[in-house]
Amino acid sequence: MLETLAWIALLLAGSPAQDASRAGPPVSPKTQAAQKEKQSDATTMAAFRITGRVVNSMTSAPVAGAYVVIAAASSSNLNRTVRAGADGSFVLTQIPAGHYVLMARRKGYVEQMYLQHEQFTTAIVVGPNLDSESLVFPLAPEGVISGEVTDEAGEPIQSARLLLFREDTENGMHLKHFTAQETTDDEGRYRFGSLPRGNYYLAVSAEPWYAQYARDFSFRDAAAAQKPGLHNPSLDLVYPITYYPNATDVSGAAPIRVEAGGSARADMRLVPVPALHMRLQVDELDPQTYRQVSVTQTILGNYEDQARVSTQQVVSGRTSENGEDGVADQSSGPLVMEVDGLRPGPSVVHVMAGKSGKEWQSSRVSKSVPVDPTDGQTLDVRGIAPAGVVSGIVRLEGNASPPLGVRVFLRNASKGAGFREDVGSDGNFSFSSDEIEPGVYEVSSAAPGGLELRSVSASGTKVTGHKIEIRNGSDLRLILTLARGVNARVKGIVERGGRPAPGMMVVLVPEDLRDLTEFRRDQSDSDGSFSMNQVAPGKYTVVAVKDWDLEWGKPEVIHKYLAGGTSVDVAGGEERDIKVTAK
Amino acid sequence: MGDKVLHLLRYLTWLCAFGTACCLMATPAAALQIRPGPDGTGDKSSSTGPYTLSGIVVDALTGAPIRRALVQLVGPQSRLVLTDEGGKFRFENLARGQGRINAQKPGYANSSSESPTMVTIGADTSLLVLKLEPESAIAVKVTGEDGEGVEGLPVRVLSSQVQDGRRYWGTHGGRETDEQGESRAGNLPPGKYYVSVGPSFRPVGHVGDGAQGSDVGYPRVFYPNAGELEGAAPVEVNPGRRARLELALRTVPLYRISGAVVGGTLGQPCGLRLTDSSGDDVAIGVRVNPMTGVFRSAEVPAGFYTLVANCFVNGQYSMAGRMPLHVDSNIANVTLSVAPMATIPVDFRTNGGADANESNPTGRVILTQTQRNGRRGAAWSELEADGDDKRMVVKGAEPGIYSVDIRPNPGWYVESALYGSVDLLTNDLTVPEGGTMEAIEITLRNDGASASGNVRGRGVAPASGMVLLVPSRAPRLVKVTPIMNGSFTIDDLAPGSYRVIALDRSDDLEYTNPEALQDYLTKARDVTLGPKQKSRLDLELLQREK
Repeated sequence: MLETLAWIALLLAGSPAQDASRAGPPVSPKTQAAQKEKQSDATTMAAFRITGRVVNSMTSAPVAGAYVVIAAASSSNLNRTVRAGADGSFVLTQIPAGHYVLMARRKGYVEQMYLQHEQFTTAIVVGPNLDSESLVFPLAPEGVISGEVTDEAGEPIQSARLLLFREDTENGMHLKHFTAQETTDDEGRYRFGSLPRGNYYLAVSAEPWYAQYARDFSFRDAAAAQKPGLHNPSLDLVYPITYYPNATDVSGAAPIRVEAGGSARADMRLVPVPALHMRLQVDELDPQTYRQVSVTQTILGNYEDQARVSTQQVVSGRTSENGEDGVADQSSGPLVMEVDGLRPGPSVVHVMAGKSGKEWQSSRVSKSVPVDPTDGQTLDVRGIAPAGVVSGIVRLEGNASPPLGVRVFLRNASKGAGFREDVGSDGNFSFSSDEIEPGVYEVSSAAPGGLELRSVSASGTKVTGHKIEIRNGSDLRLILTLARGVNARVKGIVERGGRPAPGMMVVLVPEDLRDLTEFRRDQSDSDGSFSMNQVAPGKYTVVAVKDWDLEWGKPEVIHKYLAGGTSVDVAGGEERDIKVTAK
Repeated sequence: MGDKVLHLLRYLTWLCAFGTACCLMATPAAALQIRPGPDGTGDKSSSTGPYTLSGIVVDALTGAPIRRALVQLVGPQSRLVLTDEGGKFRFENLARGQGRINAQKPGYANSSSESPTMVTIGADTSLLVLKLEPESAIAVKVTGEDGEGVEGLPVRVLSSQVQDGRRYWGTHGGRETDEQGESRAGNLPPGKYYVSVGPSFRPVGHVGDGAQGSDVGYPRVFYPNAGELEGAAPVEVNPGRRARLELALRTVPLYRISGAVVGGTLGQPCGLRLTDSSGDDVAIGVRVNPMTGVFRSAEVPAGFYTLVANCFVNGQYSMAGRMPLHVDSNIANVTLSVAPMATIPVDFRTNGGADANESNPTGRVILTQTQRNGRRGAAWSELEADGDDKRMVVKGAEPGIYSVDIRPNPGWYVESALYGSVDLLTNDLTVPEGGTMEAIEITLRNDGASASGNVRGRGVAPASGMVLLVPSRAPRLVKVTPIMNGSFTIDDLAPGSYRVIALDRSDDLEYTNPEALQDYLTKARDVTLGPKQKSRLDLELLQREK
């Protein structure tokens, strides 16, 4: 699995791993000579070695029996696994010159690439006059978070959902990202294993086991409401989403610190509160149309948790299920649905409707309304409309049809949700998912033959560079133009104190410090080299820093480093070689 | 009492139609006192109430009170409450009448709610005692060759269960082993279980160097150390106990299977999967290219498997093929042929009887295949367009042996069911690989007999139970009907002779297997029914051994 990540990392980070599709744009004579030199080295098949020791990153003790995997950064021909000895040492021989990614794994340790930071690694550069021996490969032992979830009476809660978030730097900012989920067993216990060290946040989502009986039990018609004792309101309870340590508001959430190899205990006690009830005003629908209502709450900004609510449609005093009795009397007001079992806190009500059976996908319409519910509130969720279809056509410059194998991607700039579609042989594509929420999306493409996205134009929305705005209910038609030599490549050497510096974070900073999509990054390899691909034409400053925790996505933070960086101005199709000094 | 009971029954039936917690159909009585409602010996002045119902919920094993158990009273007055710290509950302000009461709590088998107790609310307010049986758990620890725990292995817990008189293998949820190699399956009713771990989803290591060597992984192993269910030993789990199992696994080489699917429609997708020697799906993927039919599996532990393909045509799974494979090396160039799945026409006819000109009497046909592993292959009849008309067919039955269950519409009974010359009432139906199938010919009549009567257990009318009628001509086709308030009734019986018994419980009785009924049949009533005969039978309630 991590090998795959390594490949993806290599492709994204823009180290010299180029896929075969990179056609030959005009390159400067200097680079051509360097390439020829590399080629001849490879063909002589000089036997080089990579040797080293795998050690525990905390204690420096050897990690006996670790598996070390080597993969060639430039081709998939070489892929070998060796096993470290009792002293943690490993030896790889008969290695042709080139760049290689090393990965190590061992039970009880976090599987990782050599000196890995995020998805980057220091590749080992092998060749004449290069030192690739006596590497020290630290592996961090795994950490554990475990505990017990109990209710207000101290009894274990089964099937509670525990959501684990880890604080890390993604997109250049410290954010808490959802990383794993567990459910408690029949004793109310849970365990998160195989954790890398870090700061974690825990949230629990659960329902009191007895509450559903208090709800199903009651009939919501007028006659039943007058009968006392028909249902027991004191059991109609919910657990709000609770954060460690037992806070029902995210402001009270505290981190759980896990050191490498450490274990932390996090017990949670949930206290129930009365369930809230709401009425929804809903659209009238045709018969054979099926309607579904769900309610979600977003945890720490990036995990959508579905609440277990029950809904019933109320039609002028008569109770029916799922709208099958559908038609309201002429004398009654709007169609109303009751929602029971709501948790307090900011929520989103989703209404989805469509023709039942095979036509569900094509006829589906939906609407989402945010609400912070109060008991007895009425919410108007009418006006459900079909989600807009995002479709378009891909063309080459000169209006030619694109080759087969092109893919179009939409990526939500703020939430990170991504969608992908294959482009047909006629160049047409259409996004079939109706989960595309309104927002700003970055359009990108992957195509063979070195074709890159030159421009995006759209009817029906605003386009800024390669970004489009998607709004609810409107169709969008995009025209993507591909060409070769659109983007540039920036590579070079990082130096520190006059010597090549491996393992540094190299950041290509665009003029607009807030445009995160134009940043590129890499980790310098064992010879200090780095490479960044898919650089859009423009002016940049390249900086190198040792601190991988740096919040480079914050303008006020990265600004300080620009003065010591190297400026570069690239045009489409160019390849530039620069030197960067690290602080 | 009669009128009120009828009214109550109607009300409870209406409650059932809206899917509340009660079910009148198959609810054997729990062991509890039932008192017919006497008048006026109570403490209160009025004979119509208000009355109080109180009781205690206890652990069936230890007798200790269970706090915070949910007690439900269902009837014309419905109540819901959690027991207090002493396990006690109390419903007040009740009017005279009848209802059902049950208790439940996580960690206890729901036996009480499956057999709720009938209670009479009246002046007699003796304390009700509701017993709950604690559930059990199985904890598994899996170690590898290096003595360390193996992470990420699927764990399956199976037990032999009976539903609707048929025995099959049911699965109980199991979690993947954690990084210590441990997994726990909880919420298990006491009984006998079979436990398997593995296979591993991805390679756990590598033997040899580079391309010459091979990846290794863990196969599926049944406790204590068998490759199949056949060689496995059951684990007996007692109420409230946790069984601990340890398994030490050895790695086996992993291999890939590749080849092509032929006979499908190119461009229409096929789904390929592997089933192991116990018949269960193996969660190791097989990728297939829909345009060419070429497929390649992920890495599979050495062993015996069946490769199964199901292909779409026009949006429906309608072609299938299977091939047994002995995987002991990489297997390439496998050619898996798919052929149209059998479509079996079903022909309903009438024969004689009154009202013979009623058009199109039909019913439903269900084919059930009980397989070793518990997956019940089943296929149902459906109506298919046939030109301007509609015909009934059973589609999508994979090759195998099925028992045929025919359910005619009310008012009709099955006189005969033939496939060619094979009598489907006493024989199974074989669906061969490929090939077309003839029609199943079913003859219905509407001059069926009926039987009704009272059931008494030691002089008392039982609240629940079942009456079983075993037809002599087809002993597998046992007819069952519930006992409601001491009486039963059943219609549309094929004329012939029957052996009749009344049981207090039949929820776990494999009554489609004549051997399971043998002991009870020694006390059966023999009765012969003629066409349209209304027979009256009074039966003695037989208690099942627990």
